[in-house]
Amino acid sequence: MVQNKKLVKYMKKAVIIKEFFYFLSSLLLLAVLVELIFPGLFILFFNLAFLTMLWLILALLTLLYVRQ
Amino acid sequence: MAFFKYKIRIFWLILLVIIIFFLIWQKVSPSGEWTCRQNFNVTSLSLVKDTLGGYSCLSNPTPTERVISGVSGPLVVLADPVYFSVFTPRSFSRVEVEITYRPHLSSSTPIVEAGFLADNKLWRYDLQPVYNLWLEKGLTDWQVLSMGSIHLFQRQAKFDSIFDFLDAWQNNGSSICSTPRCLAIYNFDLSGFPPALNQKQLNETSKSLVFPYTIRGANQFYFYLSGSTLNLSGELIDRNEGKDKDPIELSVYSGSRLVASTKIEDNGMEIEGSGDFSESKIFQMNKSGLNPGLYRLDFRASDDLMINNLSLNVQYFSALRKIWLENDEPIHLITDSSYLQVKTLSPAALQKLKFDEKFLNIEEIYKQYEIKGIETDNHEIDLAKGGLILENNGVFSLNKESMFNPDYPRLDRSFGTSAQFDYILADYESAKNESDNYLSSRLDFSTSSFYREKGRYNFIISVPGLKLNQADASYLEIKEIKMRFYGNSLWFKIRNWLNI
Repeated sequence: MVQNKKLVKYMKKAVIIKEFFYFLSSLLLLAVLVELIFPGLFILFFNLAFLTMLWLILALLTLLYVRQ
Repeated sequence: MAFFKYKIRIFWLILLVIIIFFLIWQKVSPSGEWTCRQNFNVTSLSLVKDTLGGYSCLSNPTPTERVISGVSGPLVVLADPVYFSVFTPRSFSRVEVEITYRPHLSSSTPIVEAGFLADNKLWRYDLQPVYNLWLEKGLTDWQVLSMGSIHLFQRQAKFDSIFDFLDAWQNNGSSICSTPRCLAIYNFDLSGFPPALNQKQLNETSKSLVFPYTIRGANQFYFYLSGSTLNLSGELIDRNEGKDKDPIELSVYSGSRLVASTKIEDNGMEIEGSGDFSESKIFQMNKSGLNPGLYRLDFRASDDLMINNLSLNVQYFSALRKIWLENDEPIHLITDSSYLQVKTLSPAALQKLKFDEKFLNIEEIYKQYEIKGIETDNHEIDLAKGGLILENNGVFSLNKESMFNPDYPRLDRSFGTSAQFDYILADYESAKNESDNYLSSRLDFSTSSFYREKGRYNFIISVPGLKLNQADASYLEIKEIKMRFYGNSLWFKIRNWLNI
């Protein structure tokens, strides 16, 4: 029972990380598109370097969770 | 678990859609307004915002050595000028700029101006006054008449209203003066009024003039045409130092009206950036049916282009505010301004120049030098060779016979040494007092003709005469710059499109 609970919690975490990774990937794709069409617009509101760093961290975490 | 995953996915998809709508909203700016605000008093909150958020719509000032921007406190401007770029999601037709600042200026740096780049070829900025020490504090013993933001300063009270003065000036011109050029203007347009010089004094013989020096880059000239036909010719040489093509546009203006224009494209025979000089290319411009009078000739060209053997059928011919000549032989010019600013981009042009009886050693490239002359009407300039960019607030001519300046003297930083003026006409809004001895000034620009590249306007703050390591330690503190852009709203555009 306790193990089941732990597993659910773990899987929830994995889903959140994965989904957040997908969200950031979509956001970065959007950033590239917006910057190609309207240069300067996306980077006015979002820190691209910060988003990329977060995306990399999540990519590593996703790999870690998927492996496990 | 699948439901949990579905919920999260729906959530981030909605968030992404909101972000897309937000970006579209910003791009379209449906209200027709856009505000860009930069507070230079940095707080810990703004540091967090800068880290997590994007760039500021107002770029960092450049060159960085001319400013101090600490962790907290205002932006300190130490030398002139300072450049910014301003991002806007789309183009707008008008902008209101509000600058909050604390001036620590002296009589050698009495003016603060700000503006936008209007012409990227002539490198011309549309500037408006932010602060003028003479108008704020320097003319206390003058009698002043005001009408809104327009002020008439009289050394001796002769007129009771600005209308009376303008009426007298329109009808009698400089004959109401005790000295030949007695009216100085500041940020005031006197087009439609008689020019600052008496045209009857100009000798109306139709001579022809061949400019003996090679002119480089963008330049503006005044000339006086005594006949009705203008014949202009010369030879173009492309230095091919830059990587872009180098077309040239020659335009002749009467006042603000374009009367003749021609564009010569780069033939592209040589490789751009190779440094190989092109063959001389002869150009001509002939225009008949012109009225005798004053005209302005604009050469809109890159720094790569040179004009040789410029020939015109005029006698009076003066370069306006700036001239860049390229010759290996000695050059002699005269100017009507009592100071001269000199800069060179080439080590080969380093030299000792003579201004009146004074000498100035040009020892470094890209450094702006300045020399003051003696108190006289015309000042002699002697250069050992070309390659120097000469600038001041007057005109440059070959000799006294060809020299004339139709512009009104401007109330600028050289005003303190001049006692010739009886009247000063200024369009100037006094600075408002804010807390902590700060002042704020509001400027209004029409942005339709401003140069905009990659969504950015070029903005400048200028304090003429302000230099690094200045003896009188002048500087300018800027607390905040706020820009509010105005344009057509989306609703207006839809109505216009539907013809409602």
